[in-house]
Amino acid sequence: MIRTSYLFKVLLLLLGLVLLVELASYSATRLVVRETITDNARRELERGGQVFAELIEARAEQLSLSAQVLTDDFGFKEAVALADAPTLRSALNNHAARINADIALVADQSGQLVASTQPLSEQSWSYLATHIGVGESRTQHRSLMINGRPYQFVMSAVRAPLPVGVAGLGFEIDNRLTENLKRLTGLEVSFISLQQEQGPQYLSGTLAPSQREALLSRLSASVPEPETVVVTEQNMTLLLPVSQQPTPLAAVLQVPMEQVLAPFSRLNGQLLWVALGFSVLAALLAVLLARGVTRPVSALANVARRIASGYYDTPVAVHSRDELGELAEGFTKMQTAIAEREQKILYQAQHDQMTGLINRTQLFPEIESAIERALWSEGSFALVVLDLDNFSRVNDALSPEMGDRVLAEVGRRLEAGVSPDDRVARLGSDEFAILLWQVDREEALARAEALVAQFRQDIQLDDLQLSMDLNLGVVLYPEDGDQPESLLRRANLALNQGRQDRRRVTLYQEGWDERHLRRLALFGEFKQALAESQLSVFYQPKLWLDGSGKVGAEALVRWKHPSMGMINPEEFVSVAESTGQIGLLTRWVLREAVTQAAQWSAQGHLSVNLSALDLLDDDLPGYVQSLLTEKELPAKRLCLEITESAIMREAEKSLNNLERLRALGVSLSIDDFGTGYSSLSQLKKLPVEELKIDKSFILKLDQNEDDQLIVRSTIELGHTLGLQVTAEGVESAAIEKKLLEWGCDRVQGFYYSKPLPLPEFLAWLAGNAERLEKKA
Amino acid sequence: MTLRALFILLGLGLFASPSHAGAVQVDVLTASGQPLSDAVVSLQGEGGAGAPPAATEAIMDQRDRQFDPRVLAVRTGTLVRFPNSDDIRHHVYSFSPAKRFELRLYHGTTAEPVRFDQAGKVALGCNIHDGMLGFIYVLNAQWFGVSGAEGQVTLTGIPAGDYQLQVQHPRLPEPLEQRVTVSSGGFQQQVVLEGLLPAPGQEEPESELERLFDR
Repeated sequence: MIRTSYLFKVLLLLLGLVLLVELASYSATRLVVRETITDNARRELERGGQVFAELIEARAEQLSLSAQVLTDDFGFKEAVALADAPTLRSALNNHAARINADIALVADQSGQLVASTQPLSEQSWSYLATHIGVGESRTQHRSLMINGRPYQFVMSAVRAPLPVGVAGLGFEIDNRLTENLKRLTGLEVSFISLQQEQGPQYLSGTLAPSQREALLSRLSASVPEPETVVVTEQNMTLLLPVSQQPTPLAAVLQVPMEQVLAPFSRLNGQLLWVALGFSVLAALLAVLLARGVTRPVSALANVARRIASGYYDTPVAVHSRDELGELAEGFTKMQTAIAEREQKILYQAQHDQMTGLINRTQLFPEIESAIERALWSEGSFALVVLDLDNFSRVNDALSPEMGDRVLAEVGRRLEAGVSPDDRVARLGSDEFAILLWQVDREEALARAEALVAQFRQDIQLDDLQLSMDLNLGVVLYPEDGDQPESLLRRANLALNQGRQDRRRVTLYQEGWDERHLRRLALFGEFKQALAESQLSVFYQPKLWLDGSGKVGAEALVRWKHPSMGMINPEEFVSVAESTGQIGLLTRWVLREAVTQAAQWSAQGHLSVNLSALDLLDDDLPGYVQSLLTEKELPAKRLCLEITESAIMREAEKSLNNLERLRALGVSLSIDDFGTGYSSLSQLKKLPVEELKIDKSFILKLDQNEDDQLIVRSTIELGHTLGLQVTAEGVESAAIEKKLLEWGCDRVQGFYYSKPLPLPEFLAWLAGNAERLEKKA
Repeated sequence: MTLRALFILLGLGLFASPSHAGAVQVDVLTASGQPLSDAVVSLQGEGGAGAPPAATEAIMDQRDRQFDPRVLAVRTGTLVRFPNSDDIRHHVYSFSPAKRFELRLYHGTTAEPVRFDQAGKVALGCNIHDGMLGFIYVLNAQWFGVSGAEGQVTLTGIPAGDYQLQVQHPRLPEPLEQRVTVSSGGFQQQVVLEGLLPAPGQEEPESELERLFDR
């Protein structure tokens, strides 16, 4: 569309130019030619005038000679000398006939007419005698009117040997003469008398009657200047005076303009054809020229389209040496440059700069192609995700630069440890992935172990020797998934699980992913659950073994999902913890439990679990204080339970917040004691007053001697440190018996009651009070 | 044409001694005082006696396409011969009333002599040479002569007495006549001719026809 219009524009422009030039040159040539032709014709007419004058002159001389021949004739002389009129008349007739004279006459020396071939009146003769000069010895000639007709007249003296008279010969200027003149000069010849009184009269000539009229009417209007060419539309006219006296006589020479312009109109036609021919030629040239421009341009446009669609090897078929050629060359260079740059960008997009390994983005297509290959070849592969156990510590301890070098070295080692069909990718930070081609479960595990073994050797950086530990999560295709996303996610789950379980190499287990997805779902719905009261607080009774009959309860949160039913607290608490929503949950539980405990009939203890993350929340002590004040619950009735591991993290900050809670009068308890790694010195520093032995030690206490040993010594340890000791998971009287034996202070477990919803717990409380009264 | 003949007599000389016979000398001049040749001077005595016998024959030669002499004076009845000294033929003719004749083309002396028996002026021409013009004056006078280059005519043996003096010239339209008395001692007179015509014929160039033919 655009091409066509460009071509059209160029065509229009060029054609217009050519037509303009042609028109101008045609008009100019036409003008010049017309002028030249007219000028030429004018000159020709002038020359014609000269020729005419010479012809007339020559004729006059010829006539004079004729007259002299007559007068030199001896017999004629004798006749004149004898004045023999009849003889003379016959001689004149004879001679006039011989030379075609129209009139011949003889007069004597005294001017008396002796003889004439035509009758002449006295008047005519005296007119002739006066104007031709009888008595002159020389021959004379003159154009004059005789009896109203124009004549060329000559008179010659007759000598015998003395002059004895004159002989005159007259030749009429008639149409025969003018036809001859016309033949010789190529001009229309007219003889006109210009007598004032009668007006111009056409005497003889070659013009057609109608043209004669036209000429006369023009002459009667005004007589043109003699010997000057006058140009009118019909004629080019030259007036030559023939005689002034006695009658003004003039010859009018004319050439019709039609005749003058005849060659011009031929030339005009030729010029027109030439102009047309040139226009057509120019149009062809214009088309060629325009296509010469548009063809390479459209070729370039095609190349540009191909470049746009990502092909950079299109040859540019423009080889001209002009600007278009330069442009084509530019296109070729541009293709190479773009291809190189794209390659580079693609490489950067697909590769990790630090290690030169492919990156996470590129890993997906690699997995996809592996899946495809495996599908075709009914093969299998393993995807291993790994991270460095202690990288962040290395990074913090040394410098980010050193960290980078470590990562680079790790990348090198990983790559050295795999076979050519395998792929190593860096996923980010200290995470890597390895695609092991054609391995089964055992082989995958073996290869993973080999990798771990490879890193037993320290990494040498300058003078430093760094020990790096790997954690690996392994998934297998097709057993553990058939999509790149799920494979990678599951490998990560295995890795996380392994880290949690402190295993170097972890194979993905079926169900982990579903669990993970469930957690994700829970995370999404947690806030809504809070708002819609899907959550509720259960209470598990806690009994004092000192015989005081004191009771308490541990508040336990329960989530009854509208579609999923009861959800394991461990599960959603860990979700809340990992998503930063634990603060919300803790406060919600605190508020519910404190509100309800304030209304209990018995003044029992209320235990609420705190997450490790809660200890990092500096606002929590303030919240607890205002809550206690608001609900008017004495601080000593509230016990906050924390796990060992919670305190391990950011110990100082956690400790500080614990001190602040303790200062409120709230008692603190160490939950799940025995599962962590807390040291005794740490334990000593904690402002706690209770230890809760983890139920894993209690559940089979009556059968397991190791557990008995641990529990007994732990009770002793607690008492030594001045702490109350609580046993969880008491499920039989035998166990209670043992615990009583060892002086355990408080117990909790299904043997007494499972966690109860509030109404039931309130009932339990009432029942317990009754039992106490009975005992008492 | 008006005739204004003027006589101017310069020194009438009758003072010569009265002798029996004397010489008459006439000088012919143009109006501008130049001597005029070819003037015919004649004396006719009133008594009519004593005239010497004139020659009975005369010659009008043609030489170099001219008549020689240009002017010839003869007594009435004289036989004139027309020899041709040129090596071309001539065709001599005259249409003058005094003598009309024609001598057809001839060579040498083959032409018949012509007798001029009537007094008058005879103009001679040649039919084929228009430039040739000659004159023969036929006179009855007793004494006559033609002036030469000096314009002088001398007549001798003129007895004293009264005479009619006549002067003619081709360029003079009418003869000049005068009564003169000749003494014995002779007579001498200058005659001035006025009203002369322009020189005819021979001074003109050849006619155009002649020129064409000679070519």
